[in-house]
Amino acid sequence: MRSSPITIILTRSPFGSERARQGLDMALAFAAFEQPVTLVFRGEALSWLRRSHNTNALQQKNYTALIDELALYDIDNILVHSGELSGQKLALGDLRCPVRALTTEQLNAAIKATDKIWIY
Amino acid sequence: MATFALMITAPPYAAQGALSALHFARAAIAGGHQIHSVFFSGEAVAIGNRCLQIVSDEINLSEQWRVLSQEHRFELQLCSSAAVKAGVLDEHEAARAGLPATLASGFIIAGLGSWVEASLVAERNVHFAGH
Repeated sequence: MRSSPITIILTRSPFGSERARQGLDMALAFAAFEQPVTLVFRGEALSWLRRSHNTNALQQKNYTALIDELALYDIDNILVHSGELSGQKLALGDLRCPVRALTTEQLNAAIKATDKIWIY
Repeated sequence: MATFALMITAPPYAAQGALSALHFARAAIAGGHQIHSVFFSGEAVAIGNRCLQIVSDEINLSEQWRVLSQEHRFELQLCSSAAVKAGVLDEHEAARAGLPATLASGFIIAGLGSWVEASLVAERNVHFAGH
């Protein structure tokens, strides 16, 4: 199977809809087939990366545990927008996994370096 | 001439994605291109439920997709995990659950790996996400 780098951009939070979970499933599936995946968390999707989720009161599965699986699938090119991160008063050390915080120009360049872009 | 792999995640009637994708597929074929396969995931898998009752003056999307796929020889694939969640069961899953099979003819159950393969083999991928 040929190798084709892809970008998956997540834009939704963990619990309001299944959209971001669909994107994460895609990321894991492509990584399982040894495709290079660039995973980007934008806007409300930054919530996925917070450590603090406690879903006991909601009686809902804590989907953010999926973030811990990314490293197992060798998905390590995880990007966020630096302005969005600080806008949500988050620092890199607050996050559940290692990410790179990029400027708009750097983010555009990283995405352009891939063959396909999927937006969830 | 290009080959297209389509992904649809919009619910068949509550949003327009599956209908738009059908028109897109027909236009691509008329333009001399090929459809490699179509992968339905998330809410879109309802299209593969043979129990759906469509009002007679509305387009029957399941039937239209089935006819197009058989005429132009491409597969209609339903994501296996989404299908089970939505109660779209082939004979095997139905037997496991002790329920009647609900998979519509012309559709098959496939893993996400089938989509990965399709998206790499086909030159172009289009995602009809709907709402």
